[in-house]
Amino acid sequence: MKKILKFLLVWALRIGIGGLFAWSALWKIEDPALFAEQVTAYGMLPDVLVGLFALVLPMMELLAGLMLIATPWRKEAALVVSLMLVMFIAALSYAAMMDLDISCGCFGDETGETGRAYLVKTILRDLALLFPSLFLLFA
Amino acid sequence: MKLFGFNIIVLLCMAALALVLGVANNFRVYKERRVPLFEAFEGK
Repeated sequence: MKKILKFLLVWALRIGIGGLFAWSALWKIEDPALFAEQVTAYGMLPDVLVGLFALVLPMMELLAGLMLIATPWRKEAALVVSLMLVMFIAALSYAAMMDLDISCGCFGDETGETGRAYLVKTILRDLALLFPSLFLLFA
Repeated sequence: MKLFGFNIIVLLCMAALALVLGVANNFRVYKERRVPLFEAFEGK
C-alpha cells in the first residue's frame, strides 16, 4: 500500500512540476526579448550574458520539465529543477531586499503586479515547489 | 558515467541541447522580427 501511494505521489509530482516548468518556459521561448528585459531589471547579470541567459534558461526549463514527465532520468531532471528553483529564490530574495519594483518574469506578463509583497508571495510559491522537487530528487 | 548518483552524460547532453535550441530560437526570432542577433536581448 505504501509503495503504491509513493508511486502515485511521485508520478503526480512529476507531471505537476514537469508540466508547470514546461508551460512556464513556452512564453519565454516565444518572446525571449521580453524575458531578457525582465532579467535585466534584476540587475544581477552583466549585459553581455543577459541575451544568452534569456535564450538558454527557458530551453533548460522546457527540457527539465519534459524530462521529468517523459524520461527515466527523474533524478537528473529533479536536480536541474531544484537548482533552477534555488536560483529563482535567490534572485527574487535579492530583488525583495533591494526593494526593486519589478515583475518576477516567471509566467510572462502575468498580472503586472510588482513590489515587495508580490516578490515575497513569489518566493513562497517557489519554496512550495522546491520541497516536492527535492522529494523527487531523494525519493 | 555516474557522479554522486547522477548520470553526468544526461546532464551534459541536456545543457548542450538547451544551448543549441536556445541559439536556434534566436535565429527564429531574427527571421520573424528582423531583430539583430543578441542585440535585442541585452535589454538596451
